[in-house]
Amino acid sequence: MSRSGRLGLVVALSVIAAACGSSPRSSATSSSEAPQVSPRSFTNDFSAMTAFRSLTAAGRGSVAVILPDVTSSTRYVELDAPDLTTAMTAAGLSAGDQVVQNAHGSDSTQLADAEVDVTKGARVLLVDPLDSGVGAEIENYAKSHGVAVIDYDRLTLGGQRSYYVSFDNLQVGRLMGRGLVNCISSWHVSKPKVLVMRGAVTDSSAAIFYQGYIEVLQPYFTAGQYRDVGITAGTWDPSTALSEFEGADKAHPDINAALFANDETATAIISYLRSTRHVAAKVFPTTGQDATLSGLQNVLAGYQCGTVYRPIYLEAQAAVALALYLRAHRSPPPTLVNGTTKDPSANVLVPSVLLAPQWVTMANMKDTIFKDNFVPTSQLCSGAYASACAAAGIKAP
Amino acid sequence: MARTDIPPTPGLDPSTGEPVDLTAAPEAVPLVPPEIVAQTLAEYMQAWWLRIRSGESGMLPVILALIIIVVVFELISPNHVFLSAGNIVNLFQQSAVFMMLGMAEIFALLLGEIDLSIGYWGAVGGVIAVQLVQPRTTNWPWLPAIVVALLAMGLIGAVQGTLVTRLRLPSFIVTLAGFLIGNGVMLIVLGFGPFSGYPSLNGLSVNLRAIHDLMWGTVTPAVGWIVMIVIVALMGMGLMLRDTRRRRSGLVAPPASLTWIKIAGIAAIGVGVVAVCNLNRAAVGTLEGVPWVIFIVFGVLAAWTFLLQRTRYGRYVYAIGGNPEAARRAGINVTMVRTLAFALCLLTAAIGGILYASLIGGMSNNFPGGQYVLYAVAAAVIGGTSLFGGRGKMAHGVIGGLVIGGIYNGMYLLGLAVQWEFIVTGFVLLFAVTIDSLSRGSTVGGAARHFFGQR
Repeated sequence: MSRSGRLGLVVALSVIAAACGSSPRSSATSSSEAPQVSPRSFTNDFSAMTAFRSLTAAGRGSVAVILPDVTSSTRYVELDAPDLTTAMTAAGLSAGDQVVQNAHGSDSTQLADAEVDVTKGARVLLVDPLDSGVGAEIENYAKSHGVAVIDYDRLTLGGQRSYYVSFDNLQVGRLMGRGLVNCISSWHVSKPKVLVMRGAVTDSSAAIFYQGYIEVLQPYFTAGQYRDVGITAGTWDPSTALSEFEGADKAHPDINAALFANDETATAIISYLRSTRHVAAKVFPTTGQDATLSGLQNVLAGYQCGTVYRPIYLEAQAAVALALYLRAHRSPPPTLVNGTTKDPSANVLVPSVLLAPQWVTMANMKDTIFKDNFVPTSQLCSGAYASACAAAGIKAP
Repeated sequence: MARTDIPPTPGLDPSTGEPVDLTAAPEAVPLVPPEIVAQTLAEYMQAWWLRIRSGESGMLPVILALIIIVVVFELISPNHVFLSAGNIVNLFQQSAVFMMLGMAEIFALLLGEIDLSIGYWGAVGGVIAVQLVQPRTTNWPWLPAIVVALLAMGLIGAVQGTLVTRLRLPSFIVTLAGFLIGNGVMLIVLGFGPFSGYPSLNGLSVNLRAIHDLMWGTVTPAVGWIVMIVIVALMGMGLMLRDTRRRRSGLVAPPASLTWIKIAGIAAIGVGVVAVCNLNRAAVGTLEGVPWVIFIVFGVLAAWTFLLQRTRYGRYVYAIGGNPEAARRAGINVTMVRTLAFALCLLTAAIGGILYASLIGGMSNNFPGGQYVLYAVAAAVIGGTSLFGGRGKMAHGVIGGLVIGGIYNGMYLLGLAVQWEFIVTGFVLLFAVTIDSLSRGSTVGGAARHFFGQR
């Protein structure tokens, strides 16, 4: 494409984006240059980012991302880092203004990275803090040096960040609740007796998941369509969760559906159900989240109705988009900053970009996990799962 | 400064009693501190040069190394930001923990011993202080919390020291055990309390704030100048008074011109530090002033230098490090002095642990205790303290810590990953030990001989 042609495309895209998302609260200057995006604008081809080129040109300094580690999850190396780089490049940020670092699990490295980024002229830091202690120090440091910070994926409790980008945890909970309800009817479970197993009570996210799925399930309990067998004390530790389930199972041997708040918990209990209660496929509806390998395999095998999937490319693009507004000293549009999240330590509501998680079942696994290459197909479809993959339309390599 | 160890019996190796090659032994004259033989500045410079040529180079190599590091990183860092005010303050904060642990390790190295446990026991000290001030649990005032943390670690140091001195266990093994036990204890203390996650210094409590400010607090520019002037004036008066007293008692004193040069040097460093710290280092807004941590590091340096150079205890430490048997025969309570040194080592390490907690806003299980021990030994040796006992100064820990911090900071600025930092620091350490070993010639002993098989 010729230079003028590309410029024309950029202008056209900017105009379209500005026209589509025009909001009464946006000022004249910001609507002329800044695209009016919402969390729904982003797709896995990063096309929405090209609309940001004029905004990128209007700012200066680098955007620095500091990811926490390489061990707690492979996502930081395999998904976040490349997706963030792709998003920045697509938005026209020069390679010299892109910094993507990983603290390798060390608080002192994460802090030193932030200090160096600020010293070298970063205007916006995107920080996924290892823990709230170091996160708060980074935000303190950046604020005192006049640099904006965005909390990426994890909220720093007691911090001073400007914005937070993450998935909508209330929606995560609702998806699990609705997924369970749909599954109970499609698997024809008669007289459902539902056990609700929530995540650790100390985790503020777990409380929000709970709020989401209980909002969906409560009407069914109240109307008597489902029997509420109980709600557990709550844990994220799979072996503790299994003990909790065994206790509930002894007291109510007729439990025939359960809400599990993540795939780790679901995996531990599904293997118990299969080995001790000899539960068959598509009989005992369960849920999960995180789209882990074993969670997806349980979905394929019919032991889990679905799992909540967070496409990292959405989070990466939203975070870069927000950073580009701050870098150009523009206030981001309310369509993008679509919610708030409570920081109980600092006792403030943090303006947040809350992205939509997806409910992945056998039916849409091909168009989500497989298309985004979230879990390697070679692992997902190994051995006994090959035929289930074929049934879901996923081709094993 | 002065080599106060008792010279070995001529012709016999002090530890084995075997004859040694006398021609390899350094001449006696250059080893005498130049201020004792010199009456004028010219004579002093001559004696100083002689000393350097005989291998007693003191801090000269590390100062040269520091200058090289600064020049190289200033030239190759992006936009030459290495010497910007913001980066210099960062560099000092990043080096403060290395400096404190380096000073801690010097207590062990001076005795010809080694302490491998300072990283994790220091961290335990940090966790204790951070936990005690948590508003939701114990909610202690910050000062008693710090004092208890320091004393607790001093006590553990005394226990380790007792095992080394009374049971004659090798310090390498005792402190290696301490390294593991300290790591475990740190994890246990981290887990205590009804709050989730790691204990942090976030919050509105005055006591959390005080510990946070050890590393992050600054004094206003005016206060920085006043404190600097008072410190320089006090140090200058101290130096002058000492010389005058020596002359009046008929003892040799360094030439008066040398004293003035020293005072001018101290004043220049003080003016430089305060001037740089008082520059605005924020991109937007104002951020200026000398960080508290600079005063903390120099306060500890002054206290421990006084202890080692000006008290009887300090002279005993050097005597034992130089030749324990001679020191014992001279009537020194060797067991007591060595045990106390191990206690002071961990007490100083606990200050380092508290500074680390202050820097990262709390404590977590990713504290790099193993790495920090090696950096502490490296800081001391790079600074000029001998692994072989009896030779070294507290200032070596500070300047060696600055070298390691400088390497780290420069490599961060270049965006190099952590593996290169390990490699470069490793080479600098090897270089420093080589200089130490060569300058010590055939009279090596102490930690290196015990643990690294060198003679």
